[in-house]
Order: sequence, then structure tokens, then C-alpha cells
Amino acid sequence: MSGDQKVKGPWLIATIIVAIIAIGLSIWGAITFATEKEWSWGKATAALGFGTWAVIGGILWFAGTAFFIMELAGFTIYNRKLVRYKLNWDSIDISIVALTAAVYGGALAATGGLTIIPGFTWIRPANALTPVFGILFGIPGCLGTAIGNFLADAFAGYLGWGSIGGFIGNFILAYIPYKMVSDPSLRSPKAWFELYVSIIIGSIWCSAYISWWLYVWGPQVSPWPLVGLPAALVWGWFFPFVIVNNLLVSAILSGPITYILYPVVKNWGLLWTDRIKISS
Amino acid sequence: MQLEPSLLALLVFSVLVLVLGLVLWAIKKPAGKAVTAMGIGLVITFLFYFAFVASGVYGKPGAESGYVLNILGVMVLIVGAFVAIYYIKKARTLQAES
Repeated sequence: MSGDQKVKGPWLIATIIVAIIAIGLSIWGAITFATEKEWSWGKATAALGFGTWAVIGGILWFAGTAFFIMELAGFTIYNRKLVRYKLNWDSIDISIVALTAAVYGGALAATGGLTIIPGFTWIRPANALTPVFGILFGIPGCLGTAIGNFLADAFAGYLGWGSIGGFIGNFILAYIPYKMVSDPSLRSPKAWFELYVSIIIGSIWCSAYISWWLYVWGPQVSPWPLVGLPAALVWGWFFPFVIVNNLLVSAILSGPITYILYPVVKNWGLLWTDRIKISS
Repeated sequence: MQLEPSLLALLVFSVLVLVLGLVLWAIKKPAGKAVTAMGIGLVITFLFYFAFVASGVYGKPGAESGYVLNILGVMVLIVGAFVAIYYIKKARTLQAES
């Protein structure tokens, strides 16, 4: 057995395990959501109490916002260090933002009528595109994803103060795979392992981010509520549903889509690794 | 047309993002173009919103409105993708020539 095979073996096993967890969890969540009168996932998350979620959601919200501002300001985490990076934001980068925003926003809007929580969320198969855009295009792809979600909110009739949470929440959904997947070509078991782990983390983080935003601007917390969703519905319904909604399609489709699109994106010189320079 | 407070706050936020982006761009900060692109995206979204409100397609079930918003979504996807790819090709050609 060659050294290379020795290295690949454990990653392959780990990838299979984490893929089964991601796909299994999402299918389990979707089936229980569709069949149970009182959704067990919702009861489980609500049982932890609003105080617990306020703290966990708050930490993830502030961390997510910090990452968003940090990346826009030209800083990133590279090899576990905070470093400067340079992206020219030339016409190609701006076109990537427009491309990803139009494709993601349009694809989300196409299923805009499949409502789950009126005014807040719907069944969104296009969520599978978020890790793809993050892994292949980097920050322009993440930004396009955020704008696309905002656009889709308008098309679905859901535009409101909660859309700001959705904006950065979807940025994070693309950002976590962008930062965690070390090989965008997905030509190694390690890259697939990182993809599945990043999809699980991104789905939970995105949902917690949006839920916390809806919670703090909701009628139970804010003296000037700008969001009408009660806390029980935020943490006992919206939060677990958005995790399942993100996870289900991403765990199944994002990997194969990224694998197929990688050579095209690379040949066109649009891959983020070819477009940014890490300064220090 | 009277906006509810939630939407008015969001509109003000969107315009502020655009203005901030333009200011950052003007003083040549690295984030300038990115924040401007973000602000333009937010403001364009509001243009869609106002057009939908004016045309009366909001608040109707999909079948009743002829699934017009879903069809428009697909059109945004196709037209947006083609326009963006056209500009990427054009920019690549220019970069190759220079």
C-alpha cells in the first residue's frame, strides 16, 4: 500500500461517516417535519429555552457579523492567522457578484410559492448553490449569495427588516465552506470531508444567525418590534426548519455540482485562489 | 404608497449601505467597490419590490397571479446569468489584449 493510499484511507472513512450524518440528519428532519403534527425537532430546540438560544445565537451573530465586516475590509483568516488579502474588485469580480446573485436569487424565487412559514421562509432547493459559490468564487460568491437571497425575499413577498438577517446569514452559508474546504477541486477525500463538515456548520450557523436577528427584533424582546414572529415560533419552528432546509439539498447536491463546475471555473480564471493575493 | 415601519427601516438601511459604499470608493478604501455592489443590489431589489406592489401581484396565491413572480425569478436567473457571463468574457478579452 502506498503512502498516499494510507493517507487517503482514513479521510475516505471519515468522509463517508460525516456524509451519512449530514444526509441522514436532513432526511430525518424533513420526514419528521412532514409527518409529525407537533414537530419533534421543534419541541427539542424550544425545550432548551429562549435564554439558551439568545446566548448561543448572540455569540454566532456577533462572530458572523465580525467575519462579514472583516472580509469586506480586506482581512481574512489564513493558516489560523488574521492576514490582509487583496482582491481587485475589478469588472470580473463585480460580474461574479452579479452572476451569483442572479442565479441564486432567480432560482430561489422560482420556488417562492412553496411556503412553510408565511412571510419568513419557503422550500428552497436553490440553497444547494451556496456552498458551490463560496468554494469556487470566494468572497464575490458569498456576497452574490447574500444579495441573491435579498432579491428572492422581494420576489417571494417576504422583504422586511428580517431580510438583513437573511442577507448576512446566507453570506455565512457560503462563507463557511469557502474557508473550510482546502481543495476547491474536491479531488481528494479530505476535501469532501471538509465540504460535509462545513455544510453542517454553515447550515446551523446561518439558521442561528437569522433566528437571533428575528428574535431580538421580535415582539418579546424589542421595545420597537420590526419583526412579527413570536419567540416560540422563531426557536421552535423557524430555527430547526432552516437547518433542515439548508442541509437537505446542500448535503446531497453541492458536492457533485462543485466537482462538475470546478474545471470550467478554473479554465475561465474565475476560481478565487487565482484571484486573491494573501499579503502577509 | 405608504411603507410599513419594517420596510421603511430596510429601505433607509439599503440607501445608507449604498452611500457608505460610494464614500469608501471615493476615498479609495479596499471595501469601497464591494460595499457599493452590495448597496446597488439592495436598492435594485427595492425597485423590484415597488414594481410588484404597483402591479398588484403581491398577496395573491401563485395560481391566482399566474405564477408571475416565479416566472420572473426564472427570467432573472437566465438573463442575469447571460449578462454576467457576457461581461466576464468581455473583461477577460480586454485583460488578455492589454
